[in-house]
Amino acid sequence: MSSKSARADYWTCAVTGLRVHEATVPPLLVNAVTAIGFLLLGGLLSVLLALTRWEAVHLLPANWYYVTLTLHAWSMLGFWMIFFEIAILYFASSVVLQVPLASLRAAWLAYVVMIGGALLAAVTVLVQGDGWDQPLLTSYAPLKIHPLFLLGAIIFAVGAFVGLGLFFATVWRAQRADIERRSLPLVVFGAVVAAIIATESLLGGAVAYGWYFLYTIGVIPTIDAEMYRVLFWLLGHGSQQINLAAMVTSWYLLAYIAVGARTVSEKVSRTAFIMYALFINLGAAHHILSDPGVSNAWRIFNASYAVYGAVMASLIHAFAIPGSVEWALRRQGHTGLFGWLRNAPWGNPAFASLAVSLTLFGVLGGITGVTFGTEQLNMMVHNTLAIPGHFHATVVAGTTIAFMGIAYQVIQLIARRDLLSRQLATFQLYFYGAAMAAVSVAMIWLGYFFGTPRRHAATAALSIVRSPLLEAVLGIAAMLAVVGGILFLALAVLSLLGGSRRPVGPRLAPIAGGADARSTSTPSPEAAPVPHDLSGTLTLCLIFLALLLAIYATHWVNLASLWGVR
Amino acid sequence: MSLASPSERNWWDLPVAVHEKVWLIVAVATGLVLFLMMPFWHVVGRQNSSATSYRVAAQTWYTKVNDWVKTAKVGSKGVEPPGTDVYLSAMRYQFYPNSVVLKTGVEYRFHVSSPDVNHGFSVHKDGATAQKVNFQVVPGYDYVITMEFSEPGVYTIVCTEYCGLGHHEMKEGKIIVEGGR
Ligand code: HEM
Ligand SMILES: [Cu+2]
Ligand SMILES: [Cu+2]
Repeated sequence: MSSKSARADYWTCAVTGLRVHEATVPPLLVNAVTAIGFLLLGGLLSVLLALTRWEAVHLLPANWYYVTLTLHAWSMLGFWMIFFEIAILYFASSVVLQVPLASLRAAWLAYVVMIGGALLAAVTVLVQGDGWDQPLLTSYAPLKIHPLFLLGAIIFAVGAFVGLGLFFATVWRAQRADIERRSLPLVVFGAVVAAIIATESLLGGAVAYGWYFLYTIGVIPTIDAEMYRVLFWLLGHGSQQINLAAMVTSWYLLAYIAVGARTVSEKVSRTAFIMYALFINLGAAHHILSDPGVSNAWRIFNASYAVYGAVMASLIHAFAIPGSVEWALRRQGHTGLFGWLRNAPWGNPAFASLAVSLTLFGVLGGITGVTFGTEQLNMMVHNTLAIPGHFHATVVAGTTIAFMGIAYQVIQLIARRDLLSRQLATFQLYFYGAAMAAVSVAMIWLGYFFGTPRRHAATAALSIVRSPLLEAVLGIAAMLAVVGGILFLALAVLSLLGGSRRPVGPRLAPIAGGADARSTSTPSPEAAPVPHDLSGTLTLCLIFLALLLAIYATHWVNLASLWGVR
Repeated sequence: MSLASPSERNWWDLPVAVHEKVWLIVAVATGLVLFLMMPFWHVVGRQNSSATSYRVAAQTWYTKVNDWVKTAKVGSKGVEPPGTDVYLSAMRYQFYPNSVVLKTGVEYRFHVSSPDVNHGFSVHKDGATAQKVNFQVVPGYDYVITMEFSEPGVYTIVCTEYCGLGHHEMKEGKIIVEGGR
């Protein structure tokens, strides 16, 4: 960086016109690159897992399978996701609102604490030896978990708190400096919701882990195993919803970058985000539907958050995002029920990531989530491979692919490097999506039809029916998915190092008084004189809903064929 | 443009497009169906999640299971319960007793718990696909699951929750269902 006084330096993005504060760039990129490093680690480990679950190969001995499962889960759901979300929060606050981060020192402090905690947790499970149980993702008490693992996870959460605080402070400052008192841009609004959910759930996770930590070091003598499960999921469940809210926020951003879309109704989209913040914690119940210690009324009330909460919000976004794309493309002159869709920029990585992520998340992840999260239907799949099948559709095919799309944009807009090849980037997204879809479907099928247990190192030794064919599909698709992941990493890193420099607009000094130069948007679709036509989106959504109801109904039919249970 | 503040200050008052309104109505109606199915099935369905459980200390649980086994008839195929209560303890790394002999058409009350850590209680009909139920076994809780088998056959019990480094070696249990009265 050429500047001496970093605080004063902005440059203008030649594409979006955003004035980027130069000092924000290093912490943003370091968090994003660290995240991608964990994605690579977790991806390489996932092949070992899949090849172990493919019983014809049965790669790992059991003790290494459990170590690998723990490291995979934490590298991915923990470290890849949260580091990348911190990068997104810095983007949504400093870059979009065009102000400096409230404190650079806090940004680096957050990073150092997070990486320290992450490494402590990861190294502990790697070297602890067979005298201790592996935590896997969930570390259900009273397993004998190493206290240093729990401590590492708590430290990681504390670091993330610092990052979250920095985000809130930066947004707060920008809003106070805005003399016109405008509403937050939708992307920032979504990020604020994600950050609120993150604060609650990290706090909750830290409390549950703190309690468990005190137990493992002998300060408290006993721990109620069901209370722990309820607490862990009530408070920790939200951590999955950070991913959801961050992904939906990314979708709005990608839709804008790809086709200049603007949400068709600010009111409806923002209300849906608020519903996430309000109802998401009730989702904890779907982890506990087949547990002792909770009443049916509690289960139905909480599981029916399906009706009045989070699922409804997701259904709203499921319409609003394709709807905004349809609106933008019709404005460009495309017509017909699906003419706009045929003419969409399928070869553009921003659009490709949006399309793949949204479709797979909804069709595979959404439908299985709604059915498996129904009180009675849950007992057909609880603790089977169908559960990781479901969440690989949501958090990998959905969130991870959306984040890959965002990463390609960060490289172009923030690191100001051209992608080495846009065609290859687009291909990578479709390829990874297809492979992940196969991984998810194989797991869902194995779990649902064959009852193959999750987290099991030797199912061939059991006398339940197996499907060697589906196990092979899982193993092969996992290898293909990892090829897709490595392609992503190679493209990202090589573009960062060797992509040609993109032009910058004029360098600017900050505006006196700290007021930001935030732009206001194009006129809203709602304000348009002619009513806009969203018939294509409505048709697509109704087809989706019909599919959902059909699959939901077959689950009930199957349940009814079982022996009596109550 | 989602990167900028909305240009209209009155964005809240702007009308919602007709197609989006239709979608909102359809979505809420679907949600109601999803919700109502759960209480509805409690009324008409034969398969519902059990919500009966009692707290039980590890020591008490241990004695309960042993006392019950003492009153039962232990045949060559397994334990034949004296009444309709069946006790099953999931522990590192086996089920105890590991085989019970039951009759079709009788409603049995399974008590499942564990003296050590979380386990899984999955019952699979041997040789069949998609014929299984899965529950969580939690130490400190006597989980009462009522089951009535309509078809004779062998049902395998599998631990489906990670319960320690020997989880995959946990021995299966068997429920042998014979044609009943
Ligand atoms: C190349 C992509 C990936 C493949 C092929 C893959 C495959 C797998 C497999 C085979 C398992 C083991 C299931 C079992 O034996 O119980 C697993 C577990 C898991 N994966 Fe992935 N995975 C991938 C990416 C991800 C990502 C990106 C995330 C999160 C963002 C993730 C989160 C998890 C979690 C949380 C578990 C469960 C751990 C537990 O049961 O405690 N995976 N994955
Ligand atoms: Cu077990
Ligand atoms: Cu086990």
